[in-house]
Amino acid sequence: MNANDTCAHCRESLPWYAVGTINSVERVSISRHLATCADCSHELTIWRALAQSVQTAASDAQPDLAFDVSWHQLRAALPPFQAARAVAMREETPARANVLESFVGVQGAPSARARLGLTFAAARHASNVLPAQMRLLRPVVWVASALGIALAAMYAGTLPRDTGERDVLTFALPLIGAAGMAFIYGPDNDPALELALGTPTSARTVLLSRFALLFTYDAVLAIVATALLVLIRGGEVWGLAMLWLGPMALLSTLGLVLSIFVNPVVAAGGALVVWLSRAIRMDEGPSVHFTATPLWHTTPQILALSLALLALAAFYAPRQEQLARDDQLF
Amino acid sequence: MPADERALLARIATGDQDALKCLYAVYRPRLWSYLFRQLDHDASGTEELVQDVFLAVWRSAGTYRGDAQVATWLFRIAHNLAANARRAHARQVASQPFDADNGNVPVRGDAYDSPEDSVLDRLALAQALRLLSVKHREVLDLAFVQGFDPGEIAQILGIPAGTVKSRISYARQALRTHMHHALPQRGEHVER
Repeated sequence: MNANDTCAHCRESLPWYAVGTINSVERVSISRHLATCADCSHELTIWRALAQSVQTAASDAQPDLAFDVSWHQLRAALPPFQAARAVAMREETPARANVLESFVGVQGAPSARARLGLTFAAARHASNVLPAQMRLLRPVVWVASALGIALAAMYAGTLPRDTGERDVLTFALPLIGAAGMAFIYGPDNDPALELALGTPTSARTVLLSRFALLFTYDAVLAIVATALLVLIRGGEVWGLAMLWLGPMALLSTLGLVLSIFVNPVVAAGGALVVWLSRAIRMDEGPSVHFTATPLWHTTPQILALSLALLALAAFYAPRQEQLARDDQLF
Repeated sequence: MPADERALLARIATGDQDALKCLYAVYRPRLWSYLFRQLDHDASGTEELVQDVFLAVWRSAGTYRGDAQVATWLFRIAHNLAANARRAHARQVASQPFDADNGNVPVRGDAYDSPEDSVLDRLALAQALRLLSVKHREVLDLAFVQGFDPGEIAQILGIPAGTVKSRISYARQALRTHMHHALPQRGEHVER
């Protein structure tokens, strides 16, 4: 490491060195550098003065309300413990709760106006949650999915006409969907998940909104790739899309469930094994030969199975948190 | 006492209000101080938001598994709630936190070699801090007042630790820029 690198490394940590919130190893290393570097020592002086000023400016920020009064208010606002989770869900969408109370509670069944209110409240809530979850998903998931779909489309486009170029998309797109889904939820994928779950947004909402975001993203890109291939080679976009859409939904939900029950690597591998199982033929010795069968098209059965897997994931996600807590307590 | 705090959270997760009161007593002053500046010195809004943090703790203590420090967990909740509150009130504090014309920063620019050096004037800087965006003020606050290290701040804000380090440097640069702008308005000159 040359002198400039040492200075740059040192200056990155100086704000925390200035207030003593740095680990002992780094402290020793920085102290040693400061003893020989006048510029960095000058920087430290400025950071110390800045830290002190920030601390002084903050020192007058004290609660006006006495602790006992404040605690009394808080305790009065606490929901009963047994119903804590249910109330959390209700407070998550206060507008929805108000509409329900004002219409369902009085009249027994929601009126058209109440239903409209619920729809608006749900849309408003979704408009808050979806962008937030989009930012929390790892960027690599977005990039890798787009890259995978682009590569599959480019490879299919380079194959001679009628030599299986459609099969390339049919084979690759569901796998790409499953691989992405394996990495959207769970402590292995999101170090901040525990913190995110501390907010009023439920684990189930977090999971479903992430699934909806990535699945829509993959499906839109896959449709674009399909349309481009059809444009070059002819055919029908809808017919080709039907070959991969159902399997993509099935493998994506399978990947999600496995990532929650086991871990992301097993999830991606499991989806690959399931998908390859339809591509390996043993009748003329082991060989990989991919042909779409009616069973694996976009059929009501495939979509129903996908929905069942998604429901399983949504059901299990909050329980996973509960079980983890029980492990910690006992 | 992280171990004690974790034990408190475990008790809260079983519905123990006394444990919640203990945690409230420990963290209310720190969270109040942090949120007070996040809400641009709105005392009543701050009191409400601090209580909201502990309502969230009451509801979600069962989801705490000990991967993060309790303090980090609490400040993460506070950070999210403050962001929601700012959005809800459409105050756009982050982009226009303070009217520079009314900043009235008493900077004695002629006393130092550069505006950056005028950082030594604590009174001037305390007021200049209010010119900063919420994002910059927040990282300075978490580092210097709350005493979090870069890794903890990264967890609270949901950004990489490298971004925390660059953000604090940008905060200082922004402060210097505000000092530059403040001086001509007061008819003072910077002597280099």
